Amino acid sequence: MNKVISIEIKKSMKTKGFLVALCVGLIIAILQCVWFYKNIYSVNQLEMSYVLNAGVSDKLYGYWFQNGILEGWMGCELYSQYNQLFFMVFPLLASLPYAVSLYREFRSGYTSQMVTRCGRGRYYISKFIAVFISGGLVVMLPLLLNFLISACYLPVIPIDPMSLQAVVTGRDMWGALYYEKPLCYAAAYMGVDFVYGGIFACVSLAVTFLFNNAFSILAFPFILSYFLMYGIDNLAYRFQSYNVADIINPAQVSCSNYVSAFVITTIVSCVVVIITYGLSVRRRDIRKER
Amino acid sequence: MKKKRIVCAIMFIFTSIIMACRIIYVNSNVKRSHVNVIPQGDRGTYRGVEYRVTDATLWKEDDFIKYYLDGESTCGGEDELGEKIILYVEYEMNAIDKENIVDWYIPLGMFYCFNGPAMSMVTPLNPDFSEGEFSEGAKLRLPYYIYRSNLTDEQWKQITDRTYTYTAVMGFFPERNEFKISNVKEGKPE
Repeated sequence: MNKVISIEIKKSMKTKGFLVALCVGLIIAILQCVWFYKNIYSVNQLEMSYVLNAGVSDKLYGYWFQNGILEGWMGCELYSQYNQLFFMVFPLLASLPYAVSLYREFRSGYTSQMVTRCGRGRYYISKFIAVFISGGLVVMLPLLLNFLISACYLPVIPIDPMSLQAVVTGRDMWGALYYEKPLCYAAAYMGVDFVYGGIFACVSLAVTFLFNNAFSILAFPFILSYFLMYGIDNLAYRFQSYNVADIINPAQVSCSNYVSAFVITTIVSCVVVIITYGLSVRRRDIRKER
Repeated sequence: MKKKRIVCAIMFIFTSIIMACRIIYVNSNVKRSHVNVIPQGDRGTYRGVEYRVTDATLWKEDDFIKYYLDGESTCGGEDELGEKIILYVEYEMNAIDKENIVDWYIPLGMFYCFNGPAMSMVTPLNPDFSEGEFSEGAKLRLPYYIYRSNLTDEQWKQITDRTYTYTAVMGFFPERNEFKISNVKEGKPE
């Protein structure tokens, strides 16, 4: 079993899709760092020099805050468009590396080769794990790299609520971590995004046999995410905390996330994806499709 | 292939070391404010004026408006924010420098949020300051709305039980004056 999983994971990391998705994510992450440094951090440093020399009658006297890591981290930075952009393409990036592999392998006849060698169960479970891991990694790595680059000029200090730069309120999910342990908050949300990257990628995998072309399979989680985002946010905003399209954003922009809602949504999403996938591959004839 | 891997590994280790050094440098050179913690009743100076918190009272909104504003509410359109109460804080002021400025906007921190004073009530509560001057020992009266929707149930309980210590902040950098407000009385209309 472990050997099959290891082969599948290695294969998933060597696809063009993985490389493309990773490059897109990393480019967004690097551009965001450059933008923040140029437009926010540099101005903040100039303001500090001004405030240090300001007289008591100056409007800005005593009014300066050091930018902290969470202000500049792409996950929580809302001054620029990069946070929105990244979380907009999040489901697409997640499904790009390996989610259509089952569809391709079915069509090419590779599945029948694998199933006869390692067994149906092992093959499908390994595929699921590899898709989950590649989908999670491809969205988590840009966030991690962005955090590390930001940490090269922004100190890991808590945000002062009075600085008006905080995007998360105290009663939001992990609000205390956000204000007291920024490193833990970022790490926790990278974990959340890894899990949801995996879930989005596995959504594609679960609907493999519903569609007859790779593009539809690839785009399905992206479209689903947008149905959820606009549908729930506009028609049923009381359920925003349960919206997977909102939960993935560490800035918690659309709503107040709650731990209970997050846990329920994550468990339900995982169960739905696993059951759908299980039902779709159960007793399916394996033949080379034309 | 092996050579390529070794070169990549060396580059990765080299970059990691540089980044680690830079991160350590950034975090050891944080610009921190000098924090002056001023307990309730003590004096603190900001912008040439000496302040002292002389009174802090927690009011139900209706009672506060009846007691201080003769029942005339100056706040409109804020009801959608839900349940709220008012913390009324009185500061005593004395000018100690020739060059001085009274800052009316004194933010009040609680838990992980803060509130500015309800500015629409500040003028009716402080008619003495309309000329822009103030006498020694003058009182600056600031009301702060506290909304339940911003707090958890436990935090709200601490507020309504009057066991929480608030922090009024004047100035953030290079000096931060934190006026602690720990003794909060219950506002009762006579």
